[in-house]
Amino acid sequence: MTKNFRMLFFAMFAILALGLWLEPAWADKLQDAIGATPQGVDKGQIDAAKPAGFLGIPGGPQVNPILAFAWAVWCGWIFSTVGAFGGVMAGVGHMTVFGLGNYAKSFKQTSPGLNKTITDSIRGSNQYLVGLSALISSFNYYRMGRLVVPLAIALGIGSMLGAWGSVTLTAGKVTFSQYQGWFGLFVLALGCYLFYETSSSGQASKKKAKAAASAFEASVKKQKSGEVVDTAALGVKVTKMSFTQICFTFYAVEFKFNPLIPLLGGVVISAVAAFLGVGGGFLLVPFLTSVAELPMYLAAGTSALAVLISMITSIITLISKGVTFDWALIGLELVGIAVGSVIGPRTSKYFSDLWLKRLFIVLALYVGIDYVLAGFFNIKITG
Amino acid sequence: MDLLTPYLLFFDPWFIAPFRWLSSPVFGYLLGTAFLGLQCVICGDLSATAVTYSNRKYLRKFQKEMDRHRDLSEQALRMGDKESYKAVNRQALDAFGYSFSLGAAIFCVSIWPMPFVLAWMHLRFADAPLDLPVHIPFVGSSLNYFSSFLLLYIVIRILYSMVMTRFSWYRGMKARLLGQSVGVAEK
Repeated sequence: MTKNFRMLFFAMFAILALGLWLEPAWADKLQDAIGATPQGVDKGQIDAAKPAGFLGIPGGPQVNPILAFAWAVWCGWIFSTVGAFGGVMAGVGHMTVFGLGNYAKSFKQTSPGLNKTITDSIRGSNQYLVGLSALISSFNYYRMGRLVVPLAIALGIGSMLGAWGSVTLTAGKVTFSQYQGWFGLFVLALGCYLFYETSSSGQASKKKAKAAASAFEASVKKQKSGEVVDTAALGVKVTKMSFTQICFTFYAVEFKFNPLIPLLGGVVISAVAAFLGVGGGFLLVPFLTSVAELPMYLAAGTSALAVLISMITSIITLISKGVTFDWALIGLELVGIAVGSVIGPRTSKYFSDLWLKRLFIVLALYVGIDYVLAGFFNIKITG
Repeated sequence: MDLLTPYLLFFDPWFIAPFRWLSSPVFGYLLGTAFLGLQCVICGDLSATAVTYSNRKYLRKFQKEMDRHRDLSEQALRMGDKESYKAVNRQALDAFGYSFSLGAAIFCVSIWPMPFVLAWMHLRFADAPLDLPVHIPFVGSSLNYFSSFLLLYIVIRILYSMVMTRFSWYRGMKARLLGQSVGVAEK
């Protein structure tokens, strides 16, 4: 093991250990919330005579396993064909399709504590489906020299602060309606971004970049360089490190950045991702490539580590607040995603990228508007 | 989800057996949990490999796009052509988006056994945290089932990767599935 690898390895374990030191009140919070809920058969009450449902709550919704599996297949299909939106669809499944959102809302007046506990469980469940992919990819990227360690640390610290702060400030305090409203706002913003991408100006900008890339490739092919490049000498090399500036070279070109930028960016992006349960990974890479102008491969490896840290922090913090998860439901969803990710590539040739994005714009607008109205204004279009 | 409980109970004798191999409750628990973790890792790796195999053409397409644009962006950097570098980098980013999402799906495949194992452990150990013989700083004097399983799973997964990548057939297989050169997988 190299020295840097050992440092990275033990830093990650220190984060986990720190989280565990918080002594999770496992299931106590849920049991306390159930105990504080009025007993009875009406809406917003718990009937102890009924069989256990979601999270083991008596009378809780029994999520139809076939529906859960089918929706997860849909999410897996999206992961493998669209390149985005998979986590959002998983969230929509938890909140609307499985009826968990309505169940949480039913306790809004009678047991706000249970309302918020169920909301936190839903938030955490959304994260499992996307967040942990960074766990292994971080090590792989590091081993391939695609990780800028000081940048990763700055981003990682920011991500940890953002995720920890977001969950600490909001766990047990957010009603389902508030969560639904903010989730809807994020989905609306995503829809607007997808809309821009498919608009004539967005497409023109993409076409221009593609044409420039093709022109450069053609000119490179014409050149007869015959040079032998020592790629080992051209990897990431950190040349200067201070609190206000970090310089490194990649392929003999110097890059520099103020570590405050990835730190603050990490805080904001991971705070949003930890609060909503989605969106960390796909926001970080464009942030790094646009703010720091990093080569894509460096941005991918560096952001993978930040996503890893952010998700571990937020999941551990949720657990330390006593949030419970329905493991069987999560397991079934993972199997569904596996199936969807096999089907997706086989069907991708029948759908154009542009029309798929337009389909998701429609979905994003529908879900976004529905959730914002239902969450913030209690106006139901579909529920 | 009560419907899965009968299936969890069906596997109960298989899952609980390693916990009873040692006379010490603490070491028996650790061994049993580690054994469960190893089974999850192996099962997950086999499943992820199967899904990667079935999607190999699709994955190789994006890997080829990313490799092509990576090489071009590095060429642009060497030549000091910043505008071409940014244009090529953007193409690489587009290909990366698809690769990242599919990678996330494949990772979900690799961890699918975990929640079922955790559901079983909840049935068995929810009210029986592991009492540690000594107080460990930052950890405490007891560990609930989720914490102990997650810690051991991560260690086992990393060790599994380190051991398996020493075998050239394993490295080669993984690299070929992703359309990478074997040299990349060896790093």
